[in-house]
Amino acid sequence: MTRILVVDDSADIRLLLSRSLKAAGYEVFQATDGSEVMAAVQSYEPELVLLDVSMPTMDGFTALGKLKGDPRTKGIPVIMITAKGHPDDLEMARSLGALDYINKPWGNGEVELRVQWAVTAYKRQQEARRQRQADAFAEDSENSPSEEGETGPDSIAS
Amino acid sequence: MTANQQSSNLAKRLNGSVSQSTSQIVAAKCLTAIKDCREFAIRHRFALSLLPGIVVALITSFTEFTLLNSGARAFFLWSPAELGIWIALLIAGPAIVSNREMRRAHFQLELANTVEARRRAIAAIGMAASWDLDLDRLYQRISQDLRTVVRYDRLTITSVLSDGRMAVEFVSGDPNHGPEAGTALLSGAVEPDGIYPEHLGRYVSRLTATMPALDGTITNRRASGPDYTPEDLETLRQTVAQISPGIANAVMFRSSERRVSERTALAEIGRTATSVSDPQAIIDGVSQSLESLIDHEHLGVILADDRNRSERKGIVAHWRSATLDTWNVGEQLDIDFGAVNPGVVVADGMPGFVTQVPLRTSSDEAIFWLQAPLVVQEDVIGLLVVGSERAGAIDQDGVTLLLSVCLQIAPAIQNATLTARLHRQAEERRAVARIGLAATSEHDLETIYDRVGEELAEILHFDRLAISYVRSDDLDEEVVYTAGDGRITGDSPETSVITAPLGTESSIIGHISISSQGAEPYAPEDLDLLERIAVQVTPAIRNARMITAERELRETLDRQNNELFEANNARKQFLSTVSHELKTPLTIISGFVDLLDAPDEDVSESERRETLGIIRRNANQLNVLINDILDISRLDAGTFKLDSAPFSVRELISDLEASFQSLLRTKTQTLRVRVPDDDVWITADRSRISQVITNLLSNATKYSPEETEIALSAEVAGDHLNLTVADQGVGMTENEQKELFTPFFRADNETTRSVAGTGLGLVIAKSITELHGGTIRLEGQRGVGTTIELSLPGLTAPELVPVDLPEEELIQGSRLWPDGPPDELDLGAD
Repeated sequence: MTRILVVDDSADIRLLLSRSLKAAGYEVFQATDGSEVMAAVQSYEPELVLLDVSMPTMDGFTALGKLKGDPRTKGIPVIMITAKGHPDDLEMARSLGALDYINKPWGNGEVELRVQWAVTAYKRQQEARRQRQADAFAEDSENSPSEEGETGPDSIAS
Repeated sequence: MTANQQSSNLAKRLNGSVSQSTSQIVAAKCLTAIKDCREFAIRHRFALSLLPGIVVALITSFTEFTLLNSGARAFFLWSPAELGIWIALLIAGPAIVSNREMRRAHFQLELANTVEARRRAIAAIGMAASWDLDLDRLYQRISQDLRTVVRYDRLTITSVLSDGRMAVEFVSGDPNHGPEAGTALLSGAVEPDGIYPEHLGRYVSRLTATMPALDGTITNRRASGPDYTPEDLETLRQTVAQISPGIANAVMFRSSERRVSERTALAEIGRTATSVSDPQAIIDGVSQSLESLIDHEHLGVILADDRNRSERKGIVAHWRSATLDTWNVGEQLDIDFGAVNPGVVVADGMPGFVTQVPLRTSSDEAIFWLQAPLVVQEDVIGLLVVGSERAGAIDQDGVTLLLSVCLQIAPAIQNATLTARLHRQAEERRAVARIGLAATSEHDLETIYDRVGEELAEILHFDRLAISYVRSDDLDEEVVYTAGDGRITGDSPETSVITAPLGTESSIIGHISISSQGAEPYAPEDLDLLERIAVQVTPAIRNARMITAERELRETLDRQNNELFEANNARKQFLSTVSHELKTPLTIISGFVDLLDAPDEDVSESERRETLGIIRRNANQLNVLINDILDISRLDAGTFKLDSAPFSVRELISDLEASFQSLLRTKTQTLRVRVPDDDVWITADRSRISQVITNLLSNATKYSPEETEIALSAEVAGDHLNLTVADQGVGMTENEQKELFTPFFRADNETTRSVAGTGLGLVIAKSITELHGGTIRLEGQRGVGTTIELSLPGLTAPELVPVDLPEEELIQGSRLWPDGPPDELDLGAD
């Protein structure tokens, strides 16, 4: 079951997302602020993060920067949830390495579709990486045994 | 060589002649001794004439006795004794006969001796008088010597002055009965020689002889004893004849000595006048030189005020006086220069030309003034006045001297005055140019003022400088700069103020004023100078003002620009926040509606209720938010209207208490209400105040844990009503308290995160309170609780309140048609 972390300061939003995604067959974890994201990611190891932008202590962009700044978590795809939809915000999200964004209020089924696409994309990327690693390992065993695991997961949102 | 040195040399010379005369006196004494011997011989001539007869008789008797003893007697007819007697008679007879003649001769000798003695005494007086050139000492000696020939109790020597008055030269003896030495008698004629009965004081007889050397007289007075005799008169006349040459010499010496000092003084004055360029220094030098030459107590120099000559003003340039202190240097006097009568001594207590200046000595004695005009090319440029309280102290010589001095110094003073004025004008011109330069080289107004003040102080004395501008709005003058301590007021008589306009005559932009206290008042030329300076600095001040105004305008525009930028940013921020705050509940509502609407969703009844609850809550939240945003935008635009009317505070609080009961119950909180015992009424917008308190109470319930107490109290403090909401909730940090009244701010803690809110309530509460003229105050600390106190004015007496208000509030039905809908309005089927 695919694990998704929902980060939002509004309990109602968390409940809403949680219910929608659970109904779509995901396992949902929650965090209430940007400052909790790193800890939550490390403990739940989600395969997707839904991250709200406006949060009281640490906003979504800061949390995204931290997530993408850490090699252990930079490969996890992030979908930003934003009420603003301003081009500057989208540019910010893209430059920080977010995979996608969802504008509030979202349409019926939009969240599930975007999540599904992201999860698929993430899984495909993971698969491709594993394949590359396997190829590289095969090559390495023929040529030299170095560079194992050196190529980390690249950001797919660029 | 000074007069002093001259006189001391003279004294030395005189002392030499005195020691010479001592040997002559010894010779005279020897002569006297010889004369005495001769006199003795004359007196005893008879006795001496008998001496040869007696000797012959004795010799004859002795011879006869010897012859008798020897027996030769027979040879002689007469006995030797008889012969001796006869011889003696022959010799002595003529002597006896001549005795009467001899007596008469003796008397004549006696008489001759007395006359001789007197002659000798007179001659001695004459001789003594010829030795001394010091008049006073001479008089002293004469007075002593004269006593030996003519007895007197008082001796007076007078002279006639060049102006015809008599002056008492010398007095010996009793000084208390008659005028003293040095006095000038205004009237009096020289009496002829003679003996006069005397009635002056205690004297009985007077003897007067003329003294040609002095054009005067010598007078002896007796207080007792016989009247003077013609012999006394003769003696006195002879004495006068003897002493006259000596006195004449001494008088001549005195006048020549005086002439020498006068000449020295004049030379000194001339030297000062030509070598000094400061008129004051010339005048001071003159005053000093004259001090010993003219017997005076007061000396003044008044220079014509050439700026005001038509007004006949004079300025006191110098004033030195022993007893008068009325004139101050620099003082202005009214002077009628035409009335100046040079060289005439006036005695009416003040110089004849000065009017309205009371000059009196402390003893109120008359002062004899001599006024000498300072004339340059027939133009009176000033006056030199000398005053004495003793008549005759200023004599003709003094007058002549003073007129000479005036002739000598007048051109020098004129030149010096002109030079000084030229210097001053040049200095002023330079200073004006400097001020202009200083002013134009600066752009900062304050610096320009400072520089103008500094430069101005160099040429014009002032205690205070003020620059004022005409305000463009009300045309009043506003003082923009002051320097110095004094205050510029025209009230105090000691203050002198001059003011010059800045700008042209048609457009005066302000004024520059200076004031001076206590010192010499400003003169018209000072005003001229200030006006020239004003003209010089006007362009600089105008430019600087323009620059300053431009800079201020630019700063204002910059500031406004910044403010607009900030406001724009704030609005962007606000809009962004608003959209977020609006979209979140909208998202929740639409999201849950979608969930409920999902066809394949298997929703339990409890879940459905919960979902609907969430939807309702968020819809309410959305409504509150929209109302708050509308309030904020109205407050921001200034269109927020208060509908104030008097209402009962107790009633309001009980309404609020009732409306909060259900909310309190859900959190198991209690509300403690405290109101004044006597109901308080206040004029305010009841619904808005209610909104504010509702907001505060809902915050209190939201942010307080369960089973805590919330306090709502109303109390009167002075003319304000204080409404307080206190909770025992999470409280806030100081920073949070500061931010609390900014839009959309919400304190960050676990509780706030779990509680819905717009972050606008307190902003609106503050604005509404302030619109009522009240204040909102917040206290409390994190973890202890929060107390918010509203302080509102407008306390109202209950009796003034319209009693029908509650009914009005309770009106039911349409607000558009409170009296029922009109008939023409189609309300559909009944």
